Amino acid sequence: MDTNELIKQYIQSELVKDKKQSTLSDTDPLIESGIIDSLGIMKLIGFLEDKVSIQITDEELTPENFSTIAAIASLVRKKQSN
Amino acid sequence: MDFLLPHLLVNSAHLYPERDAVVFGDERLTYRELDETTNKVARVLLENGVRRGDRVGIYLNKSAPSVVSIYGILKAGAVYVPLDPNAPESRLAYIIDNCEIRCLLASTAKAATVASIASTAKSLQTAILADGKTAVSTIGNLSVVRWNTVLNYPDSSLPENQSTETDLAYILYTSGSTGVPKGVMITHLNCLTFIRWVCDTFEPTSEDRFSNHAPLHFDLSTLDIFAATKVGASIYPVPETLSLFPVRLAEWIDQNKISIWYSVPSILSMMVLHGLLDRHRFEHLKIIFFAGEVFPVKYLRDLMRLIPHPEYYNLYGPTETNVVTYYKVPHLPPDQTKPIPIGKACANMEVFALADDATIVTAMGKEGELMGRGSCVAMGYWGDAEKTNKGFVMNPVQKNFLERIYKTGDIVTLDEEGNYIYVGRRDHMIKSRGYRIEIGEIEAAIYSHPEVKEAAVIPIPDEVITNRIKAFVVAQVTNNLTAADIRGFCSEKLPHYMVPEIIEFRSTLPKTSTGKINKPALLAENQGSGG
Repeated sequence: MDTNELIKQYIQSELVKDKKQSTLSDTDPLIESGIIDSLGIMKLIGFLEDKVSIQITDEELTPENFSTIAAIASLVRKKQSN
Repeated sequence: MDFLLPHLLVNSAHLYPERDAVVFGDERLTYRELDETTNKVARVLLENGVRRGDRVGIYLNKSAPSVVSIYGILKAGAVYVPLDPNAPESRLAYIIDNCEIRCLLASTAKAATVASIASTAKSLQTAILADGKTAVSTIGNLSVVRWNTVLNYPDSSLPENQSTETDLAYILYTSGSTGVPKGVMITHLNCLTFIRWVCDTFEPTSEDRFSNHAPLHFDLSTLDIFAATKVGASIYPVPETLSLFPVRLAEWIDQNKISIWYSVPSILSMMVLHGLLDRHRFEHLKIIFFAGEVFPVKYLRDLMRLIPHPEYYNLYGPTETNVVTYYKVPHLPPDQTKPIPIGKACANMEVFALADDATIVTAMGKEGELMGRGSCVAMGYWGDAEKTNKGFVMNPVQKNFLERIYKTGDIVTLDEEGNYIYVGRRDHMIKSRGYRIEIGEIEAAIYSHPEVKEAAVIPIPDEVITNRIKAFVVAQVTNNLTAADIRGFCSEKLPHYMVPEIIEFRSTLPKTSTGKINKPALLAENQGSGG
């Protein structure tokens, strides 16, 4: 499964609260919409560490890196290639 | 005069008309602007049928208009009811219906949700869109008032207000053990008793900058907003999304030259762990207040090492009394592990601990339930005499006149210096991120799922957020339910901080000899496992 899809699946099943909401797109805002909240960001970081084997530094924990699925996937790819 | 909360604003606008009252990003309102705008809001509310004592909702994210709404509503002699912008519709509809809100101030982005809520909450008649956006012209059958209509209102003088200090100023809804939230009714006097104590004790000035981190439906927000206004200081609402990013939050505090910070400990612990605090000097910080939950000593000690110059205060009190005790945190020795005390009573407030034998606790080590007394004690729960009479009881040690005090449900003891120490709860209420959570309300939500046969919820202690929430669920038909189903279902009924983080399916739950679900057994098997 590609990175975008893996992250999307996790967010859709674990973080989206309104189950009536249709499938997320790669560019849907995650923060303003409340999909990623203070609890969600910690769960997501745990997921990235456990399942994708990358460590997010404090420095990388920014609104820019977590604003959309595309942004998270881009951060993950950047870290995987380093 | 300062017997009503809006008098604080009127007085400061007279003394400091050109000082910043509210600063939110690029939005900046001076005291004169805040005073005039809130007069206009009050007049528009009155013109739309709002009367003294009416409840008016605030359904806004942190912004300059959220502060404007508070004072506008109070100046109309009405009662403000903050609605959690992240709460599910059904909960908001319950609150609106429960205290019969007819008018609310909302952001344009929430228009669709307001329309949906209005289809079930029949009392709702009017929505004021408290931002400049014009994309929406109708919201269901509600009459819609635009922010421009408010800002261009021809009369910016203060409307007449016959309110007294014992009239309600706001209602804050908190978790209720029977499955629905309950509205704590706070009068102007209740709040002013607290605010006067804050200003007399900590002596903030018009030079100060108060952060406003807590959401408006959380009583911590009242210190920031009303104490700042009383002394002509500036209120800096913290954008909600900033709390997700500790490095950015730390930068924000430093760059905005915040001098008085107030939040739950978990957000401060997050900054200790992930905020890279050693990058900043925070030279303007004078006071850090925290309240709402126990601050783990190791993180508090780290925080005091990283930011050594401010004074640190632990404030304690349930929404029903606001703050009633406080404790100035001294230097914490490296070997201290025991939690810091909640301290001693604030001036003009009284607390005592009542032991099971109905005597007052005076000796170290003896435990009792903390009682709060004074003009800080709320009027009870909106429209619920039964719950009110349970929590707000006649003072058992005062036989000569009638007086209600508040039974906090918190068990405390005394230390050698006469400080109260928090020991635990008498009931099933827990804290997570400073929020009060009734376990029963979560269980009621899960039980209402048609596929659920049995459910039990327990707290899993957590160093940073106090407790995580775990639910055990027995499905009617095995394998028919997923954790995502339960979480999704709960999210439609409960605010996000009450939705169980961990969900475990079982074929059966342990029972006591009387057939009840054996919670102690579930707690015991989860001890130390971290979930």
